[in-house]
Amino acid sequence: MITMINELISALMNGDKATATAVGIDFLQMIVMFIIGGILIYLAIKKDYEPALLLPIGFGAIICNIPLTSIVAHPQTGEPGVFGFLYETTIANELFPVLIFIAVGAMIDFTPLFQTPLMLFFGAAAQFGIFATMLVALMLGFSLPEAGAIGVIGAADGPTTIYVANAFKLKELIGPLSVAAYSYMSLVPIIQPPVIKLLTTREERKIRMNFKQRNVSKLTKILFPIVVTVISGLVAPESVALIGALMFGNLIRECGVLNRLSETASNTLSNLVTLLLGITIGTTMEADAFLNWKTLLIMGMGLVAFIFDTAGGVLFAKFINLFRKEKINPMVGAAGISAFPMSARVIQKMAKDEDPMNFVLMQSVAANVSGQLGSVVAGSMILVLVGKLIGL
Amino acid sequence: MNWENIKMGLEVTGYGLLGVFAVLILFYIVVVIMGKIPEKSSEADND
Repeated sequence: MITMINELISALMNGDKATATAVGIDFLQMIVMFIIGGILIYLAIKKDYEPALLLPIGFGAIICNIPLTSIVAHPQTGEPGVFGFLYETTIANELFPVLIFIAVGAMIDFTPLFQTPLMLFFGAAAQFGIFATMLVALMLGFSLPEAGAIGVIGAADGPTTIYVANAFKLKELIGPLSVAAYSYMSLVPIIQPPVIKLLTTREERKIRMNFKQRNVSKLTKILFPIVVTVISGLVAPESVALIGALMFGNLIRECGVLNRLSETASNTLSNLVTLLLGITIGTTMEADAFLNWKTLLIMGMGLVAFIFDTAGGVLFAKFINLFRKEKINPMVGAAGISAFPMSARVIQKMAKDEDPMNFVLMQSVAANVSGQLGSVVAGSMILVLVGKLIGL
Repeated sequence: MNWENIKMGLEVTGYGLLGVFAVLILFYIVVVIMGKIPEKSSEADND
């Protein structure tokens, strides 16, 4: 910083306007990035918005913008620094998103899905936002891979967003995409209720749903992750890394003989990878790459994606209700986004606000875990289809 | 606006949504079939 100020003063004293302007702009950009990093840290600590990710990202955004540091790359030689090395060896090769999915799989209980299998369709319907946002991004002038990666923010699923952006080699967008995905995920309790209220009547929100408690055998729970991985792999081979990791984590959880590994995956592995993932992503937020109109648009479209996803789930539930005797509470459709388990909780709270005796939590959780599967499948579809169309 | 890109986007949207629904329909079938396993095993236990 002192070097920068010295440069600025000497340029001004020598009347070198071009250098003074360039140094001044660099200085301003650095201050703006410090403020953005500070805001992310503030949101993490004060507002509790995804603190495990936003705090490291915010700190990473600050340290990578300190002039003349070599934490990302050496300023003169361009050789990778510590975080440049971490990025290349853990994110660019998709290692961290895959490891996170093993941890997530070890945390998920798919039992509610077996009790209300119909909820699986909301995991598909709520992915509408991904594709709708992709189209909006295309209209705004983004390229097809960029638009696809932006749409995946609507998956409400950070690792899939990072995975797709990486597969399309969009390093400069990983920072804004991750910030958008994780920020809006933490804002689900604020974003979803108004959209749901806008699309449903009070009577619809009061609909009660029957829930039959069924025992699910251990064999079913063991076979499910294996069969799901094979089916996804056969339909979309690109999905095997993510679905396979998710289901591997789940198999460890359900097999009953690997409790220590299951605990390690859901706690230690999850914490360790989250810690390094956040700060490594933060260090990609260098001012030159981050401060542009694309970042602003990505933040805006992230919100659009979450709104479209919520609307897709709710409207699909209303559509299904046209043909069913036993009506579905359309709010449950909104839980088809993969922000697990926050979205399910939001829906239950809304149902309870309308009718204190209405319990839709199990159905919402089932829709929510379906959303986890749906988002990975949708991300993989984008990878396959965009890749084929543009020859990646 | 690049109409060629938008056309490709519509193609991705159509096939993408179709693909997501197709895969989740397969998952639905798997879940329904597998959901029957406990009934059969409990019947076997009773026998």
